[in-house]
Amino acid sequence: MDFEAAFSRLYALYKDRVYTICFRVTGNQDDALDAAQETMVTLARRISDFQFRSRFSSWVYRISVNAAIDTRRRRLDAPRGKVRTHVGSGKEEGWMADSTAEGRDSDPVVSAQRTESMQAVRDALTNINPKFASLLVLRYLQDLSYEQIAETLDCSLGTVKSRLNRAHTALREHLSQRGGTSHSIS
Amino acid sequence: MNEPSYQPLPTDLEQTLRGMGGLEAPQELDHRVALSLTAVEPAPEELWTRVQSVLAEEASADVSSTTRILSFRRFAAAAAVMVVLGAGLWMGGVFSGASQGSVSLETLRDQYGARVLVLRVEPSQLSATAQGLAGSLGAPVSGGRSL
Repeated sequence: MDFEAAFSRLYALYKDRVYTICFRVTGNQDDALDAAQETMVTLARRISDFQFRSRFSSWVYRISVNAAIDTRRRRLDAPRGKVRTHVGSGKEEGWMADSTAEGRDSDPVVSAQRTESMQAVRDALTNINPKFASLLVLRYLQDLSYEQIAETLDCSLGTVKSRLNRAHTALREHLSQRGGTSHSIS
Repeated sequence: MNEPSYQPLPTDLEQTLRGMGGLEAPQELDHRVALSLTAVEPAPEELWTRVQSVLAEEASADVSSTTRILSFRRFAAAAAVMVVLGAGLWMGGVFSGASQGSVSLETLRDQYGARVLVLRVEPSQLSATAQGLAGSLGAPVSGGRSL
């Protein structure tokens, strides 16, 4: 199998997962595309750097997280006029899962509450420390175990648990400050 | 400092987070990555042959324009020298005229004649042109006094 065919399979396997990480950490489509593109190009160009000391997926996630955090920091450092805002209505930005989840409720009140909750959590993820946001995304959106998160972030299991606890606290605090959410944040 | 005890997320918040996964990457990502990874095409040898001939033409054009510039510079330098010399001669005439009022020409000639080798000649020994030139420089060309 030549490189192009191999990379095509790799790309198809990871593009959605990479995009999800990038979108949830950066909070907007433009930055998510930048970070996801950077991740995929890095994968293609530095594939020979993979040492087979960890799962391949951990390596992919590590590159994604770093690219997303870097992109978000660059955006924060950019002049105010260049700050990208989170606009758009859904599918065209790759929010299929949100739309599907919102559509499950036949009761319009419940549906509205769910939409509000998701919006609050989305805002929280893009406002708390990006390292905490990445940790929450890996744990809950990508459903990684503590061990794989430790492998991805190249740190100990204890560090992962400690940081995740702090990420929980940061998320809860942000939601309680924002107020008006239906989540049980206590 | 002790870490605070582990506090898991409330179930509904955890469920909301889990529901936010599984996004589909937009097609734009495919295009961007494909463009970024487009291989660089090696240029054929013919390209160098073509570029070389164009470069040679441009180089010769540069040389001719440089020559034109240089010839103009030579002309300008010569004109500047002539202007300076002309001004010098004119100023010399003015100052010599002014000095003649206070110091006699003969005194000056004797003064400087003592410092340099001076060949005294009679006006009759010079050609008409030389006499004209000497006269224009202030030498007496008529009478018995030699130059």
